[in-house]
Amino acid sequence: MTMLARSHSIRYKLMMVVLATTLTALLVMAAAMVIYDARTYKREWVSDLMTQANIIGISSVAALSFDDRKAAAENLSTLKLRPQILGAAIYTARGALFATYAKDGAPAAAVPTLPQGDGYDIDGDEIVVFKRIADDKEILGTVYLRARYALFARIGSYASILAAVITLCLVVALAVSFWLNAVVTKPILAITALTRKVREGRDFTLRADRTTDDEIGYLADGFNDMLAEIGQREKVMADANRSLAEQVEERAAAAAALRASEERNRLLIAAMTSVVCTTDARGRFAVPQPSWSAYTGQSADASIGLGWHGMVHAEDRTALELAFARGTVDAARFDLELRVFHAASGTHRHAALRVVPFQDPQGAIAEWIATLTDIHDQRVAEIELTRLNTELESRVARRTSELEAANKELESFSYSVSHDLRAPVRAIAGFSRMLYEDHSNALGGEGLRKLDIVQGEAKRMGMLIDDLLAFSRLGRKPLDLAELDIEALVRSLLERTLAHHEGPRPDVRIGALPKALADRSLLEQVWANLLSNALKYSSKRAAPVIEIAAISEERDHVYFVRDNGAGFDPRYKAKLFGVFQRLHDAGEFPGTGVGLALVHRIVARHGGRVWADGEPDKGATFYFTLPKEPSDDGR
Amino acid sequence: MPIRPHPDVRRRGLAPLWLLLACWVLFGAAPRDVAAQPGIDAATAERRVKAAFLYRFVDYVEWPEAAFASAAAPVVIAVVGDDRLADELLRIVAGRTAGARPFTIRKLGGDVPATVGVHVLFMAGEGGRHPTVAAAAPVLVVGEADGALERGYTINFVLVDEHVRFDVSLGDADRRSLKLSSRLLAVAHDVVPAP
Repeated sequence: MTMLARSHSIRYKLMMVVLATTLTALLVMAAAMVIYDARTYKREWVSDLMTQANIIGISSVAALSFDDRKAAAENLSTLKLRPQILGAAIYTARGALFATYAKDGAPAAAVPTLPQGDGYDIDGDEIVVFKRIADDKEILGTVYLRARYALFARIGSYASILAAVITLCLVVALAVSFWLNAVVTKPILAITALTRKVREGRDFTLRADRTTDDEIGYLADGFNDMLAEIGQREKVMADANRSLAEQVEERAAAAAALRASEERNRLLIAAMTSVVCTTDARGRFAVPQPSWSAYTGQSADASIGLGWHGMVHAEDRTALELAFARGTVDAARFDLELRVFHAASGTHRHAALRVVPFQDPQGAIAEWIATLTDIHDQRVAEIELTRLNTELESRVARRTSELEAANKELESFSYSVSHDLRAPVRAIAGFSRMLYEDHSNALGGEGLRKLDIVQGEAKRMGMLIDDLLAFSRLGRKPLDLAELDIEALVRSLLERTLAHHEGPRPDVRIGALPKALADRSLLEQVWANLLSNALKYSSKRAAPVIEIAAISEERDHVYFVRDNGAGFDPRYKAKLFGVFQRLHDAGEFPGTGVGLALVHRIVARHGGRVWADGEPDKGATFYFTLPKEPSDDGR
Repeated sequence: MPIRPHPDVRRRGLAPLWLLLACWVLFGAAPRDVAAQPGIDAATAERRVKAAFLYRFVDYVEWPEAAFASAAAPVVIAVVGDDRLADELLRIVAGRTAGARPFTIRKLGGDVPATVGVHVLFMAGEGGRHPTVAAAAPVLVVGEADGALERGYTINFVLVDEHVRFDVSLGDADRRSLKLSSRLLAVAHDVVPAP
């Protein structure tokens, strides 16, 4: 049916519709009629037989009353007039058979020996009816009838009549559908033929004739409009095609330029020493990565997917996967250092991996672009450097501890020496004074002069020993740090020093001196040494000038003392702060050569530095620093 | 064989039908094949059939209105010369009516008793010439003797093949102004037409 519906013309379909509709309607009607007739037949036939039985019964009342079987039989024999009735019987009130009847030639069916209550029963093509006979007083007997029940024969004849009628109707319907074809399908077929012509000839100037005023006429109008519209479109399309062709040429030129650009990029990548690869959104190689394969020697097939992880050092793979996972979450570029197998050297080499996400317009990661840079040599060098540094540090520490031990020894030695030296020096000083007081007359002028020298040298020796003791004690005494008002300290020291000063009064200029954290007695020694030095070495000037000031640096206060005195030869700068190191003759400028060593030592213990600038006869500047914050070691 | 009740019957229901049947069995009705009943002699059987016929005749005979005193007046059946038949008849009519009329049974002796107000008169045996028989009174006179019809009887019982039958005299019925139902005539053994 579907095939028919698809392949046949509308004419054929219309005909089939008419026939199918007609046939369906007729069949439904025929079925309804047959069913109705069957029901009616049964109802009427039963009713008819009951009436017949009743008539027989009533006419047999007298015969039953007066026991006249002959009369009853005669009554029954009137049923000959009803050929459908095959047999009959009358029973007495007590149920005994009273009279019977059988149609001539009918098969003798046994009459039931006992009657039954009023009613009927259909058995195949026969029907049996029982009917009681009663007058107004009592039951007199029962009538029994057996008759044909020709329902199927009736339905059969009915069906044949209906079949004939249906056939006739279909013939008429066929004729009607032929007529309908002429009316309905002809205009449609005309349009169809026109369509074919338009399609084959691409001639959009053709037009359909409007022959009817119904939907088909409307269809023809619509078709004509459509043809006109298509003709118009065709023209527009041709124009569009032309402009499109021009655009295509432009595109081709652009594409060629793009290809050239891509080729350049490709060459650039190939020329790079770094490995460049692209992965999909999940970090897998989707296509062969020639630079990766070249570096690692891994075949393209083996590296596809996550296969390339196999070339990464086993200890670095977890970090790689973690970094990719984090990068995927953040959608951000990441860097990672790992070891990758290098085919040429046959070892794992340190490499820096940089992975950059390439995002589509929606912001989702489309792919990753990874660059791998071999930093193996650099990394190896760093490691070596670190190793060397460590070695050096340990060597320095060893040396330092050796040095400290030597220093300690030296300190205790110089302490004991100084201490032990004091007694003889005092003895010399004491005895030479006693000699001077008791025997000065006996000595004479020359003797007194030499004794004077002995006394002076003994005194100097005593001072030297005191200084040495003070110097060596420094190593033992812990610092007693307190915030000191440096300016007040300097002014009081300067006052005391100037009180014993001989020579021209210097011009002392004191700038701002910030407070500092230091041990008061030790810092007093520092300032006392520097101030006395400045006074001492500038005392030979006609107008000595001493400047005292400070500069605050980031971490330290830098204090300095500047004079316009003798200065020093910068070549010997390094020796300035050594013990017993003197740049000037003791006769010219008296001193033990311990002062600056002491200064150096004290400042160093405070975590500061000390240095000096100077030129001969142009004065000198001594600097020392104190940290703003107390140093950790607290030396 | 199951029997479907006719729609009419179904509508009425079966209970009244069965009740009727039960009554009939209890009280008994006219035995029709009494001769065949075992344990009963032929004379008794014959008497029972005749009693039943006498009762039944009432349905097929129409009396002139003057024969009854009122619409509810009883139908009087007189039996002459056979008390046992009269007893049988009493038993049959017990509780029964003819339309609105009850039955009255009278036993009369062989000598001539009064028969005024009788509607059915049965003369047993030879019967003889009874005054009522001779008169033109509207009484259905029934006899059981040969040639009774010639003697002014309306119906006469005869035995045909050991079955009780009856002959009818239409002339006698006319004389007595009795109308006999054609159905009665249809089942009569012989009908003597009016002269």
